[in-house]
Amino acid sequence: MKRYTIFFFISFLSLQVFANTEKSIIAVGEAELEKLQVFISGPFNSEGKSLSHQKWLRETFVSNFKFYQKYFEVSSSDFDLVKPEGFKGTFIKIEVNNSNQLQVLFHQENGEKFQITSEQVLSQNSESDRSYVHEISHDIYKRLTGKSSIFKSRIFSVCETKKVGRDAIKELFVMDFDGKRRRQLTRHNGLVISPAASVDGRKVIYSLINDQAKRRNINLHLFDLKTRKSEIISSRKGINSGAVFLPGGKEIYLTLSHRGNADIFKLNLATKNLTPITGHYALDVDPSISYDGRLITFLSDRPGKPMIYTMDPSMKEKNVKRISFVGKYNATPRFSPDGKEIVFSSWLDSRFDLFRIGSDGSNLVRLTKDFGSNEDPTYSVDGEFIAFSSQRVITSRKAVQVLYIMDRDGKIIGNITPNDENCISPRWTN
Amino acid sequence: MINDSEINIKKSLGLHALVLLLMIGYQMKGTDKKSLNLSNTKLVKNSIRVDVVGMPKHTLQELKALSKLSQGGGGEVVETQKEKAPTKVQPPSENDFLKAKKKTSFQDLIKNLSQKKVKVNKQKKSPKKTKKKTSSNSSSPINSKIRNQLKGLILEGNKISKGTSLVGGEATDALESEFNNYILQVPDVVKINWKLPSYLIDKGLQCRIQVFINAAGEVINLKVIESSGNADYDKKAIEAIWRSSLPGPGKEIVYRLIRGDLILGFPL
Repeated sequence: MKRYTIFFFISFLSLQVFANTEKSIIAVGEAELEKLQVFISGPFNSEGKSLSHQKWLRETFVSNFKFYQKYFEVSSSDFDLVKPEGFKGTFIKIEVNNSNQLQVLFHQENGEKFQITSEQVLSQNSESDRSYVHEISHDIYKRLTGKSSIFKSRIFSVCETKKVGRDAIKELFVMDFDGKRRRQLTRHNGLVISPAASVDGRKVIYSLINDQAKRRNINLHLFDLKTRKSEIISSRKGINSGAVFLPGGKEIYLTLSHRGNADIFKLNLATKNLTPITGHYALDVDPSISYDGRLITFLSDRPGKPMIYTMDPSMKEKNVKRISFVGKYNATPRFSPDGKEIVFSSWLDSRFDLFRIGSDGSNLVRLTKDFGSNEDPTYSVDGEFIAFSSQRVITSRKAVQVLYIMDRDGKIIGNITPNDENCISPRWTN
Repeated sequence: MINDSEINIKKSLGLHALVLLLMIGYQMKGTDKKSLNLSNTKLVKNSIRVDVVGMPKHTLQELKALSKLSQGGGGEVVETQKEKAPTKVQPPSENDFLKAKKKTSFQDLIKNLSQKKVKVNKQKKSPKKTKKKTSSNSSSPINSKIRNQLKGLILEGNKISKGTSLVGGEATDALESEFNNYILQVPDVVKINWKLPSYLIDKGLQCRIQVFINAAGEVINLKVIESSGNADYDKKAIEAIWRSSLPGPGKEIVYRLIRGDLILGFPL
């Protein structure tokens, strides 16, 4: 009996041990982004007097931070010398000190205060002084978010300068990230296409279709922003186009068709050595490279229609992987800076629209719709934005393509080139 | 004869004692001193699977707007890239918590000890239960409209099918069902207040908080059982719960909520 009692006691004890209450974990999901309140006031002189004639300084700061509208709720005034009572957020006061330097005091929500002073003296020329505002905006952004901003970045693009008969003359331009300070770089009197900048932004490669030349060919040119000189770096028969710099800036990937079939090659700019990267009988064009250079994405008609592929460019045809399986006509795949996703255009409903897909082929999402025909996307240096050309205004005479910026989720920020000017092929760089 | 019986009883007692000790040892092994033992937990989640069979017709912005409106339905969107049979239903995904549960549940321990394969019961929901669940989740009338819109996506490129709930196979009794119905409403309420500043978002952080709720639906206590390692992140998650007005639970399940049977995962 005693043994049975012990047996039942042990059995009872074991049941008690494992009769724990069952707890349930339930997922709340990803958090929404909490916008940070930013109040920008000024500009003032050292005595606190409002400098209304330099209000463009405040307007530029406001405009900069409104790009990151996903993160910031921006408001401004020209008279608040201190943080308004009850305001919860970051207060930014713009000053021009006695040495005529731009000075910004920012007062964070947690009470911390910082001051940033531009090393340069304001020249009173708002065009050239804008860069100081961008530099300080960048510093503030970095302190608030811990990340780099787009404020010091530039965008290269091709814009129409004039018409010769029916043919448009398109040249290479460069502008600030917000479309300001746009200036013409080339004067070929021809048709510039598919530019790409080096990582440091000092060199640009582009292709030129020159009808005035004896032999009509698409040649590849290199433009040095320091010397402002252009040189031909590849003029093989057929296509010399779609070039992109490798991270070091000494080599490029480009599409060549001198062997009859368009393929992707690596070209050493110094030695001119050519190495094939793709070697398929199908057309392989338009490479884009991840920032670490370990992966390229390109367009190929291997399945019978243009689809997006990725591969390891360290060897010919290494680890070629098809990424897109849908779409009538996909074009211009471009890597995000971290190499995790690819933005591309695809023909749908009689126009191009932009889509985003993970570099492993997952998470295909549509970014644009009912917004004209949208092509030629490029990621910003921080991966937060995408610039693209949009054909929205179509008159009886011509179709105008305008450059727009949206965030990476497809929320339109605005146009960066005028509505009456024709600009295409934006390329974002540092 | 008596001797044989005594020997058998002794063997049986010894075996039971050994099994008990092994079980206790096994359970203690997985226990983190600093956190609550999560060995006897289950993950409750709704999910929607999207099979891409064409280019998406709706933009990400549109889908986000739909998702916001349909928060009553809950769920996450999982996409696959290849053209697949639209009727295929995703099997329950193996995740750490289910694995943890499998490792430590009494049933599984017995299974391991006996070396027998235990058939995994797929949860079958009766039409009555489904109806009840739907009505409890549909806190706003817009949900049915949104669901219809989501269904409409099937015709326009995206195949959406209701994912398999990860509730597990044992929640068959009415009380368990009521408890599940209640806790499935909680994330939708908390999510409204679940916001992070830019410096905390997309960092891959995660925390889990045990919630103690009284009969009025008031949060009476919170316990961070798994910290993200970032105090600000944990604080934001705690604030999101405190700010939420939770519905009152049915009296039959109050005791489970008072004793903290609900753990909220931020985000999972």
